[in-house]
Amino acid sequence: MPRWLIAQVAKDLGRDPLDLMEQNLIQADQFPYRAPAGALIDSGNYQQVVADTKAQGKLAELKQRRDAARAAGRLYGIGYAMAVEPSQSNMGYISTLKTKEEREKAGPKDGAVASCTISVDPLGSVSVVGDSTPQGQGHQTALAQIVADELGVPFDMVTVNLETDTQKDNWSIAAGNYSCRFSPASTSAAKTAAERVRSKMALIASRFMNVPPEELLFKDGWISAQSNPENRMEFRRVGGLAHWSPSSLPEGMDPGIREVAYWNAPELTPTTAKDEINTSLAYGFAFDFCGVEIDRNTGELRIDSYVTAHDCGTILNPGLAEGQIRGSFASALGASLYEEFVYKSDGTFLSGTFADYLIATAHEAIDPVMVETVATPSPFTRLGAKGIAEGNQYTTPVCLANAVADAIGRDDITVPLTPAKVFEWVNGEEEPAPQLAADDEALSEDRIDYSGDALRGQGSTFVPASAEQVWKTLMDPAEMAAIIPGCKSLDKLSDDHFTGVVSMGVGPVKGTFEADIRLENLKNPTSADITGSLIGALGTSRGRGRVTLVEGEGGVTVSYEYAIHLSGTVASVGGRLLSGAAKALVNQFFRSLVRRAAPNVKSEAGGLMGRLRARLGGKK
Amino acid sequence: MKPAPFDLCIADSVEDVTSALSSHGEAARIIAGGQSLMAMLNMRLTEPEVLIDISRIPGLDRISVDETGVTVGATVRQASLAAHDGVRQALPLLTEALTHVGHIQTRNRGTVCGSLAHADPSAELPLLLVLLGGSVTLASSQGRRTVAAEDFLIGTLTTSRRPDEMIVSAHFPRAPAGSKTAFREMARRHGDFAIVSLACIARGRDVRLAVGGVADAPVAVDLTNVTSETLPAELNALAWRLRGYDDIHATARYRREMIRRLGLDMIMEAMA
Repeated sequence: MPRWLIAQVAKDLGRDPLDLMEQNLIQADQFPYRAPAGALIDSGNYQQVVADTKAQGKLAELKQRRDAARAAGRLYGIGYAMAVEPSQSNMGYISTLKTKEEREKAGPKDGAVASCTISVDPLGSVSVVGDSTPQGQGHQTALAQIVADELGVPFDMVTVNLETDTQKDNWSIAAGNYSCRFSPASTSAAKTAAERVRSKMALIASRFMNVPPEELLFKDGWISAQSNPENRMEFRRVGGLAHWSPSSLPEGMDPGIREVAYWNAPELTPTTAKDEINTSLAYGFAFDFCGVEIDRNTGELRIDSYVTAHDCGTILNPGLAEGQIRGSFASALGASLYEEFVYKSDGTFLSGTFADYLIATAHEAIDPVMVETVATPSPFTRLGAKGIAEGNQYTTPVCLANAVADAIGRDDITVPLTPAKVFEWVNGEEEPAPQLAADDEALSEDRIDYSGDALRGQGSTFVPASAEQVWKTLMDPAEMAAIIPGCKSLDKLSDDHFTGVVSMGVGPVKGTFEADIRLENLKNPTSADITGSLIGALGTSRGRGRVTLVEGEGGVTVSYEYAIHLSGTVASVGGRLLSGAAKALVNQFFRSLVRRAAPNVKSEAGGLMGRLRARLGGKK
Repeated sequence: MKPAPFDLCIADSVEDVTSALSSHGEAARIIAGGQSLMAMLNMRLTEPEVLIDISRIPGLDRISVDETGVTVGATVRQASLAAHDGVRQALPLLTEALTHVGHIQTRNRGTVCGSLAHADPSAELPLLLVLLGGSVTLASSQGRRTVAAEDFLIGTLTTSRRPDEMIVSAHFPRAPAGSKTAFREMARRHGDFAIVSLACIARGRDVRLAVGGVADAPVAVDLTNVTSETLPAELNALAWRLRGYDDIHATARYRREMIRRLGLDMIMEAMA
């Protein structure tokens, strides 16, 4: 809703939505800014980000393109979205769900403890154990850079191990990899631990070099006196002394080099009595705009231009930051256009494979314009860094939906923006079916659809036999065993209750099912209701149907209708093929019925498709 | 996600395959590229007792182009057909449609005849076989027979191949001299199962149109005396006859609309 709230307010006020957004931004001199709900927004220069984005993203040109497209009758819209991107969650924020009394009883919760351990081994190699568990974000690289810079050693001398074991490694409540906590928190702990290692090594070196520790320079694998670069020791030699010669160490110093730092920010205070909470430590800023054209004929979106800007404070590594933006944008594009958890009313999950749960792949991940803009460091994190990975998750779906809303003038836009949905937004009612010719009437009744929660079908077939003959066939378990597709056995428990084993499927998809069938409302020889269930490894189904017999010239018309509820594997992954499968099975059933009830008559070949083709004037 | 246990039979000749098929029948399944079958095996949607690997049989990987059209052996990969210069000249429509079949990676393994045998109602190769009036040649220990596309592709994942038969080749006839062809497809993403796929051959005002993804097998219709005035009504009638179906990717209405709109666009392009 917020996505079009601003757009709606702008519309009501007759204002440009971007102007309205800009008017409501926090000004650069208001930071740190305490928001009404308790957030302490640390730093930013939102006006500068917006100005840079408009200029580098060429907003004026995009507006001209929109106007030209609209003048030519095309559907083109521009969308905007801004987000304040929080990072490093306050562990107290979940407590806001509780009442003040419950909170007091449970005791205070706040902070977000980060930790890091740095060791220097007897050969001078540096090991870092962090408290993040990345999935490819490059945290090892960033930590190695931070530690290498602090200790003045080559990058490749630092090994980072993030395989956290809570029994032997540093960790605390907030450890892990979520809520953009790496850049603000894990790096702060690493910086602190590296400073402690450096202080200890400076004390050791100071004793040998006869220089006060604060006057030592750590650079290129050497520790040297600032005043006299000739007076120096190798880093690895100082590291080795701590292990090989404890007697050489300053008095009272522990041998070895292993420093553990736990770091927390005092700004992350508990929830107040008035339910106020500073939910996160650092707050970045993101601003996106885009131009989108809708194909009226297909409902497809063409993203003409997508511009994205991020101020995440100090950028730890430009390559990693760009990777975060691209990855987050591609993922958000998937959420905007493709991704959806779809369930049937009975809970069957319909989008459980990557054939049905569509994500943006390299083919769909268009290249956004990435804006170069300000980096306003956070005053609350040790390196001034803030999170960046989540920004596009907030902005991109909103930005695209706003563009679609702008293009078609609707405010009830929902994501994912699937072509079928967009098509119906931009087109009116469907062209009705033409009047059917008389010989098409029967055809139109052969209808099977799997639109709602059930697979429904209806149709009829003509059997050149008497109603009594057909009825007798339908009520005879031995006959039915021969007619039901794939029936392996059928036992009559009573006149109206049968159980059996059925092997059926479509093409190579075959399963064995235990069937339980009951006949109800038997009206010999005109109608019967059939209820039943099938249970097998491929899924379960229960259904209800009615068969009606109407005697006519030369035979009887057998009409049927049914609804089947399916669940299990087949319902989850085979939805696309189920109506076709049901059609095939029903055809097979009736072909067999004709064959058994009227054995002397050659059954109609080709089934529905054959008749359809014959009527449509195909080659056959 | 592992297949149920099966025996693997690696065939050296067509006779190996037909003899294995005659002894195992429906319990056996042929594998060539495995791009549809492996996914179904892994999800245990199908659990054949025997897989017969035909990919090493010499001579089945031939593509031949003559004045009648393009004949494709059972183990020809989709990528090989797509890259074949002779095919591109004889049947550019086939080359174009192949770019919509899955992805580069799946086309590198997937075979043309495997796609026909799988008979997915939204697949492009069955659509073209029906449009062009092509055929499939089947071999069994009883001998060989050639079946017309429309008699072969009879329903969802269902063909008229008998359990003791294998496809040895498929024949895609050339479009008639002086005709023009066109292709359209709508899928959620490039390479996904088509929501609707359409192909046509136009010669003068006669148009043959094939539609995939809407009914349970590709359907072709012949339209005569087509004009831009009469075509929309004919496409509307066809759309309503095929009806389509709802799934999580598109509605039945959307499928009908694509017949109307992409169909019109495509046929007008071919007739231009």
